[in-house]
Amino acid sequence: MGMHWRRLIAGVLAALALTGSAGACTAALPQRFESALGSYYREADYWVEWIGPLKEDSAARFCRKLQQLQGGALSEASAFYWAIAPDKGVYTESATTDYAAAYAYLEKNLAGMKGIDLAPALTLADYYRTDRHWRQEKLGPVVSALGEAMNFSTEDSFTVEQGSDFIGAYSPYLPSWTRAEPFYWLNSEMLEQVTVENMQRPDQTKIYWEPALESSNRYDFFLGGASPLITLKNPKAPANRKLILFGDSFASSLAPLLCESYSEITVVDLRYLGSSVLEEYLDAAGKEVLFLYSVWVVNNSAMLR
Amino acid sequence: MKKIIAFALSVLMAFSLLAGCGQNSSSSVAESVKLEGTLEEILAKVYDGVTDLPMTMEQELTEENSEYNVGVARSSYTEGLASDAAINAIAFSVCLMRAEDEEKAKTLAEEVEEKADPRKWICVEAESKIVDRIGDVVILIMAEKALADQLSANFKALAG
Repeated sequence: MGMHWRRLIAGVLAALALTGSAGACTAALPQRFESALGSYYREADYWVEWIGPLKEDSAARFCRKLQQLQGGALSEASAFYWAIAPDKGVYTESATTDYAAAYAYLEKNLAGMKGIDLAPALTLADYYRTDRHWRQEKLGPVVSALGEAMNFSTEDSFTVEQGSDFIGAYSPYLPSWTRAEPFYWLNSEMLEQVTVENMQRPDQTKIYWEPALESSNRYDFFLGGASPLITLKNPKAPANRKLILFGDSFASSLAPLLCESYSEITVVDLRYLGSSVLEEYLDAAGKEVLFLYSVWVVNNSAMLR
Repeated sequence: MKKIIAFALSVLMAFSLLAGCGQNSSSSVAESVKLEGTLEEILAKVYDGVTDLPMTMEQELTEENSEYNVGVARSSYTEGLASDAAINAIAFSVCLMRAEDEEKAKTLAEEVEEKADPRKWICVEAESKIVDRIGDVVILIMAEKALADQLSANFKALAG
């Protein structure tokens, strides 16, 4: 068999293998498929992770971790809030993520903390098609929901900036015909004056890490990607309000939008910073605390150290 | 005929997908040797002299964290120790597990090889996953390849 036929067949195989439908010669997609990255399905042109039902043992551990912090390293904080960043599976017809169960469980088991339901603030269109994350330019209603619960309001108006089209974090596992999608971020005079200290990237001083615009990890653009601890400072915000935001990567695009209301926001990722050393890096006295994690983390809380 | 060819090619491609996406994974088994010392002591020897080793934090492997760290239930071994990068957003994890006996350790090593997730941190991914065994002790190394190779070499050297 000639070389060009082998290449043609290899290309067809790539498409077939990703569809999982052996023996078919069409681009038809199954309801659900498995990849090296996990279980996925496609609905309304959105690729969605199959997170599944709430794992109560993990949710219980999640609550214990937050309560341990509340009573320990964060005992001198002024207020505690929690929210779950809904994943886009919440908004699909398949509804593969039991956000409601997760929210109800946390609400029942996180005494002394105020829960904020973010699900009504979002729709499927507020997420990337080829990536798990929400889109920063769509987070206005989320900020409003947080502001209502945490007693702050935002008056800043943002301009929408655009980078080149991209295919998100799922790209290694998606069919070659997957369409790239636009990438936007928000800017304003306020955001331009915010300074950043990033434990993982000491040379980063601004909110947006521009090298990410040319990389395959586009979402690293927001606060430079994964980091144990990042501090954002806005000298023009009310000096008496400071926030500690515990979160995963969903927090990276949201945190800048809260800078108008807080002179200092410390973003902590407990996947990379152990709770046992938190007090060495953080002074919680008089600060507000917001725990904002995705359902994925609630369901796999062993990753919080 | 076309459908038969397409089906056969699909099966072949499915097998090629099982190789992962550039993930360097290897597993080897050492000859029957008894590794003395606590898991902490063994870990210290594995880390001895390694360049570019990040600062680490150790924790006991428990029912709550075993599947996250090594992919298998805590009941699969008698004691376990996890060592991850501390205060650093890099994919680095070294776990040691002692099984009931050498035979059970062989099974454990196979299970860990199959199930441990080099993407457990979600936002970062280990370039290399290595599972080794000496006697009744299994090691899981997930790290950048050059570092993982150094650690694996140190572990193998403990077999004498």
